[in-house]
Amino acid sequence: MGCAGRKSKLSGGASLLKRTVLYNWHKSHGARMVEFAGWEMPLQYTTISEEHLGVREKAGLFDLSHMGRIRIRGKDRIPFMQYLFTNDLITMSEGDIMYGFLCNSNGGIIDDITVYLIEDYLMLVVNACNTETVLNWLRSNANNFEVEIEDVSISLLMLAIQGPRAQDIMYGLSRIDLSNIQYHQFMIYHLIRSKAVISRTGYTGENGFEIYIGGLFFQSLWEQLLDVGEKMGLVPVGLGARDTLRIEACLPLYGHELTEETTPLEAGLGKFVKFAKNDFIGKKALYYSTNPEFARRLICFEMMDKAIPRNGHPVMFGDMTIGTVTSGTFSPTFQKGIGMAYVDQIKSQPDTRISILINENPHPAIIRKRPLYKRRSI
Amino acid sequence: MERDYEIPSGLYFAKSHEWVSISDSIATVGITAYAVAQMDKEIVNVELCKVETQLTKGKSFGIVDSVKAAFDLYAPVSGKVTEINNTILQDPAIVATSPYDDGWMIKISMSNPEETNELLKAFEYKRLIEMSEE
Repeated sequence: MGCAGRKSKLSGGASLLKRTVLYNWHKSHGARMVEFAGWEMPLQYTTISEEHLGVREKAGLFDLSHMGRIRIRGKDRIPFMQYLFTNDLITMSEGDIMYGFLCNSNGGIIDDITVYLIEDYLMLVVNACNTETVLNWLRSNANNFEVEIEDVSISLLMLAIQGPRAQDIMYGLSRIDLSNIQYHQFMIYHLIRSKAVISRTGYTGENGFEIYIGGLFFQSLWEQLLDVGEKMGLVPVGLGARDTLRIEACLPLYGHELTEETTPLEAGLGKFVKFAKNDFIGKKALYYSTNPEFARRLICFEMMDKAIPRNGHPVMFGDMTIGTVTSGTFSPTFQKGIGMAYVDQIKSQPDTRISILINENPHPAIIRKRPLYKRRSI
Repeated sequence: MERDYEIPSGLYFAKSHEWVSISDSIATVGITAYAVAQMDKEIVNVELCKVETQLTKGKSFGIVDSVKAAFDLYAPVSGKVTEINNTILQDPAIVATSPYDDGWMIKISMSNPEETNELLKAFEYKRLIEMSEE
């Protein structure tokens, strides 16, 4: 038995990896640890399917310490980010969160990030694999702006609680009714005697929250949430299910759907690029990249047989290669193979019959409307 | 961590974590409990070559998928495939729950029975796993 294709290594275990403050907790709760973006993180505690369905049906708790958190202070913080960020911060008020991109001058994506507008600073949440790159990018473009850029990833930790019971569990812990926090907004509350940022955001396709709290309180918050949530079905969830959940919800992952060689427009995320605002890095290239004739588009698809698509598999239309799979997995919700792929725009319509070339054999699949998984209600 | 993986004595093992049971010149092949654990204990798809396929030792005879990844299956001995386990194609989870029994994969009519000498015995395979776990 051997790893097929270009898949991740099974064994982590190098001593240079960063560890979260919950490392011992994860190990003592049966987690299988893997290397991810320089961190040693839990892949799974039970099985990926069990944790995945736990989130869909009840609730799951995710240690997101590995993600990068960057604070930007200074009087020019808004014009600075307006110059680097594709979305338009002018429409934000305090308590808002905005998703968008940092692009290079070619319109290629340096990272996809969320920006929190907090009191007298901005908080950027960036991908683990890009934290260093983003810090360097921000600093190298800060010359003409009065800003202070600080990596707060070590002091301000992050977890997510996701799933239909997430809000009830948060209420059980804090006696705070979070129903007034709208999607992509946050509030600052005291949780377990520490100030915490609670935002209605996530990466699973479920309703839920991401919580930022000081490192000293992190493990205590984690354990108390599990304590309170246990009878409502809360389970710890590893990166394995985090990936299958986001693929079902067709949420892009940096390094797969998003790279420096792809633009937000190709990824179908043009609504986070605001051409009406003043100049920003990449604006011109993105504006002139919209020629549809040669364009490719990110699509999602489901398999029509039992085969499971993986990153790198070619996408065919008849005998013609029209693209490449960027993420593929077995879907615990639909019990079949699903994935995302970049394909020629002219063949990117929903219901198009395609095939995925797996081990040189074409397997039938069909393009679906994004997202594949949509939760029933709020 | 689960350190004690079942390794039945009397079987032969390949370094790529297939097991082989020999009866006359027929080799029955499957994957080990250790392999299943490496696949996150969940097997969601199995693809096998067809009956009559001529296999060379070390050549791929199929794929197993966990939720996260696909793994190639390598023929531990050379010969012609005489039978495949159709049950696991329908219900791949059986490989995870019963890797040495109901989860067998293919039977090979060996063309070169001496190849079994190159396979590991149970105690040797156990040592291999212990080394890779360290």
